[in-house]
Amino acid sequence: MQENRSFGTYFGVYPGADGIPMKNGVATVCVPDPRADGQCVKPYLDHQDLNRGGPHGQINAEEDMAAGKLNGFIGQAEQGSRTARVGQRGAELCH
Amino acid sequence: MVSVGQSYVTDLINAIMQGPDWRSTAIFLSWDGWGGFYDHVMPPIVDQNGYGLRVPGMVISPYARKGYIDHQVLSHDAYVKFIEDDFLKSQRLDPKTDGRPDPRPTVRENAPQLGNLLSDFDFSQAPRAPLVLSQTPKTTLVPPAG
Repeated sequence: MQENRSFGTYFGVYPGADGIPMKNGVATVCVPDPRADGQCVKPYLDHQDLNRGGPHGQINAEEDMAAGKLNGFIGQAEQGSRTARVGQRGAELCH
Repeated sequence: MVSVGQSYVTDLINAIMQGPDWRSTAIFLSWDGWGGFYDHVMPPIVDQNGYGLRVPGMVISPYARKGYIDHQVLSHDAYVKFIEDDFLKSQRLDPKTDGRPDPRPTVRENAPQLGNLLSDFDFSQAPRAPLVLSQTPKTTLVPPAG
């Protein structure tokens, strides 16, 4: 068991997998960045060997999923300090 | 760092593959949570605990189907289900009665949405030989500054 990676992070462009929706090699999904006036950011390749991801308690999962819109990820990462509140609610805190 | 973690896991799996029990081994390599990283699939809701966002999962065994991609809905409950099917004749451990109470609200192995990991195996195939990987493969990863 390893920690803290989404399926899309590993197999998002793996042939045959249910990965990032693409059309002509370009992602057709994006997530708005609240700190950039809501600019919508498509998934991209990250070459960094260190990436701590975003907060991942229960409330963060709900916000990431946004009732099916799957567009809360960047906002939650930018509000990472909210994990302290999640901890008080007894949800998972891990690194 | 990702590279350190993956080298460690590669070393463990290499050792198991080259050990005396490989011919009767199945390794399920998975991740405990999505970690805040993007995924585009809304998980089905089976009870008040989820499921959660998708995580990677791999099956490594002499009897794993080669190159097979499993499109079933699976959760970590599928591992418990597989173990119970294999070693307890499909008896289910109920968190209410197994003597070790836990937050599972139900016997989640019985969730109707949950697939079966048995699909990932072909026990009639010739057992596959170990595939030992380099612990230090060529990488494009960029180490952190400083």
